[in-house]
Amino acid sequence: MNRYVKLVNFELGRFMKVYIALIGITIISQLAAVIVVSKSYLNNANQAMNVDHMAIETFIEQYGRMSFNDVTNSIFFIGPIALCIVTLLIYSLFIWYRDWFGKNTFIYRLLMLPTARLNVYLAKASAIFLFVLGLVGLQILLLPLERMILQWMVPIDLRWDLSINEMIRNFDRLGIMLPYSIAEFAIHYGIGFMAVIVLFTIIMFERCYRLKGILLGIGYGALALIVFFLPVFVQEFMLYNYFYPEELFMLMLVTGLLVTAGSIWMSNHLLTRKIRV
Amino acid sequence: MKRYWKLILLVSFTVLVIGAFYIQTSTATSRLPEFAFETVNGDEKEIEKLTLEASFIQEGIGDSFQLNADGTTYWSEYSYFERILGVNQRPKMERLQKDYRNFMRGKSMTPYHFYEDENLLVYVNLTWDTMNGYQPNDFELDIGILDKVSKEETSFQAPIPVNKNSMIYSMDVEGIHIIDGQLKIISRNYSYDKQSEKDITAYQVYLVDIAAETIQNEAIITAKEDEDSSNQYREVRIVNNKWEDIQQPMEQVVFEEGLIEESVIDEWESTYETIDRELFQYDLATGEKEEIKLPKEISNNAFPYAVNDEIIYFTEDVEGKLKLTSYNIESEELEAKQTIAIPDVTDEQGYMYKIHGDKVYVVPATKNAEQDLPLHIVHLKTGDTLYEGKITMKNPKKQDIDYNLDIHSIELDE
Repeated sequence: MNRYVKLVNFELGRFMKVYIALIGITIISQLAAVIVVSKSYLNNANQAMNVDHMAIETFIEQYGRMSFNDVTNSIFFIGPIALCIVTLLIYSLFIWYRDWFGKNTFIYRLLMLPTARLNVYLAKASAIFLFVLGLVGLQILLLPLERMILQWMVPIDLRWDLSINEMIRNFDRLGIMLPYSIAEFAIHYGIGFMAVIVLFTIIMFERCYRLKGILLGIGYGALALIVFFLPVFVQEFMLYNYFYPEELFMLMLVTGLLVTAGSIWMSNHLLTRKIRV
Repeated sequence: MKRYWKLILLVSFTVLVIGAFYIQTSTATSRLPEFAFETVNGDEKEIEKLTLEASFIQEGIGDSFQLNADGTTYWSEYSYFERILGVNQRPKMERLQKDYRNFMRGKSMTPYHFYEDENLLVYVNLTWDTMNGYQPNDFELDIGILDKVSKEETSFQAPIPVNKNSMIYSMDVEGIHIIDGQLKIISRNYSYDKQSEKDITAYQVYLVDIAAETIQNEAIITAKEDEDSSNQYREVRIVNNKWEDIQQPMEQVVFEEGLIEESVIDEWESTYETIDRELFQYDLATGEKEEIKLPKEISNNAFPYAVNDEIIYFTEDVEGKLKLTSYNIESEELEAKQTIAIPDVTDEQGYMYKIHGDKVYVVPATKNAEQDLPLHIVHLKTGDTLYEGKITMKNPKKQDIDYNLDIHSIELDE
């Protein structure tokens, strides 16, 4: 346990510089989004009211009040989220390959540590997972702050205030990131964790059998997908509508756990028996 | 401990922020307004079984909700599990699924695909060969019969018999009936007649041989060429207001045949007028057709909305008012004529109505902040207003800002 904790902390440290940069970019870009969108709306309003002598009511009727939806639709808002997702996806591969292709084959030392090799594996998976959750937490903190800035900038007559919940619900990509309830949150990120574990298993295959391993890995990934979605395939193509929704949910919970446990077992097997340095 | 600061910081940060976020969202009261029925006149018992499916939108933000005597329930207020388990199912289907859990597996969720009496629960649904995709004439019925007493189940699929001279390109099952222990199915068939080279709409009765698991042609109730001349066409339909319910035993089915004339105004617009129509009833046991002679008081534009025992209810929109006429088939007399004027309903608002039993429920289809949404329940025979009320918002703060409330349907529990 102690070894595992140490290893997680170590993995966090190795990515910390890039991670802090991601946090910085997100904060700056999203705050900029609020300011830019508010400014352009206010310019519009100024132009309409002071130059074209439009009454405030007519302006609102034509252009609508400004709400946080205008901000979430801006590229400066969604851009950094996309950047974080892509970076973490790439890092999910890189977290392994850097140890093989670094200056000195660091994996050699990692795997020689006097601890179960699975700890190295789980530490890497946990690190990725924590990075994701950390960024989600950052977004939760940023939303009220960004709303405050919007409220400072745009006068109350011209804006339409949203609650944090409404800000999320009106923007479906945020809705996937922060679903309605903690149960859905556990399901979304549980599936995410499973996907990371399956990806790691594919990497293990590649590291063990190299070129042939790529094919094996792809085969394994396909198998994992089929197993996970098996209840849905049965429901759609074999026994039309046979399962009730609650049964389908339980079955997918079982297949999801099966895929996760099976992948960890397979990775452990490959790491201890077959891995090549 | 100091060495692990990165880990401790990141874990405590995520747990704290995400935890706090979900605690806050679960306790935060929804900002969506509550609506309620406000009784103006009449007995509040009348609205006990009434549910309105509606939606609320304000500044582009909104949600759909159900409104009944207990108050408002928004879709977003249901928990995740309630939503995936289907809270929104009709209670009728929920009852069937609860009582006959195994029989209901793999069956559609449309109540109209079921027939129920004291002894039997019958399921009939149209299917086709999914492997080859859609082919004309290639229709099958998915049939399930449950004996409620002996719990015996029979299910099979059987092809619809094909007629050499015509090609069925589409069909709908519109009636499931048990007559003297025999399963009869009425379907509306859209076909192409090879001899006359014309499109035909027909109502066909099929007899299901349960023991042999086959379907036989029994009778054609009516068959009409769709086009009479270039600007006139024919329409046939079953008069039935219970498309949303499980089918129940009946002996007579009422049909309407109409001749519709199209008058072209310009390239984009046409008007349609019923220039001739005939109603008849079909006896499911004997197969006899009997014309229903309508008195002159019922104009061609009066729509036969519903049949309830021996009474046909006609509805007609007369200058924004709902005109209802009840005609008794047995005594061949007009039973009652009612005109329901809905005060304060503007033309663009329009209204919705539903006849259930011998009552009609009328409500405007939409409202904004300034408009009223009155609800009227009127007895069809006596014309008495049994209930008069309006739908009001309980959060007056939200009233200042314009909003839209749309009624999607009027539902009545059994």
